[in-house]
Amino acid sequence: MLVFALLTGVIATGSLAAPASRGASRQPALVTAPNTIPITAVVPRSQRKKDQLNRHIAMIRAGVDDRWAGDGAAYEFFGPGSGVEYAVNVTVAGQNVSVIFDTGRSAAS
Amino acid sequence: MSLSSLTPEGQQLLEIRAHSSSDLWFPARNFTCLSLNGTAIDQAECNFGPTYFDITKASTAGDLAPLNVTNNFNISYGDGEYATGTGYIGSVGFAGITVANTEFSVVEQAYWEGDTVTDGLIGFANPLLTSIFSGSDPTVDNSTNAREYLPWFYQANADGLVSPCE
Repeated sequence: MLVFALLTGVIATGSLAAPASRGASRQPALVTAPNTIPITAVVPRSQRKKDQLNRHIAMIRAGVDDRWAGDGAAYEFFGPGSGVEYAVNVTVAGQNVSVIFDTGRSAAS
Repeated sequence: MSLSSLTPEGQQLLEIRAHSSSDLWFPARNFTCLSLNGTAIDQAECNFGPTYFDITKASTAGDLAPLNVTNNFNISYGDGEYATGTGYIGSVGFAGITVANTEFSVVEQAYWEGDTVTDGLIGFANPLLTSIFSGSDPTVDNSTNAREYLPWFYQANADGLVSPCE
């Protein structure tokens, strides 16, 4: 099982260990991740993006527009205040590129 | 995409349950920035980060290659942003894992409300949500010309570099 955990600024990939026995804690224990991805920046979502997202939410609520439904992503972690993007580095064809890590989740207050 | 209302600690929030995305993309140095209505505007208006991908350098060095079929990359996000471009194949390193031959897209046009830090996006959803289509015209893209491919993580798994999703 792939796990992406956001812990103290690091995204980790690894496996979830099964609970030791039935009746044990429902929280699976995290094992040491074989690979980690440092988050290089936590960037506030721009006001224009917030405005655009809110307009789209209004359109979905009104049933006016679902052009983007099921296609693509919102890419900020859910949380009070919300609205941040997490940057990670990838190396593409020998060049370093800073990209948004798409978490597939967003929130608007 | 679906919406749900939550009230943690008394604060009402609206959560967007998105489908995530599956593509890795970034803009070319000479990309065209578009307004929401599709008009070309100053490149700086898209607010990408400072490091644009130099596709000429990568091509000259043989570090990437066009896909062997005519294609276009075409993605739209939940907040209305969208980008179009072309799919390529080359090496991509992430989290200490380098996949020698994986697909990604170089964006040539985008409406983007950037953060001045990041130069693109990487998604980890499944192949069904990839956004490269057969043909060169993104205005005619639909489900019939969708061309699925293995996103970075899935290609890493196919290459034996990571364990599969379960």
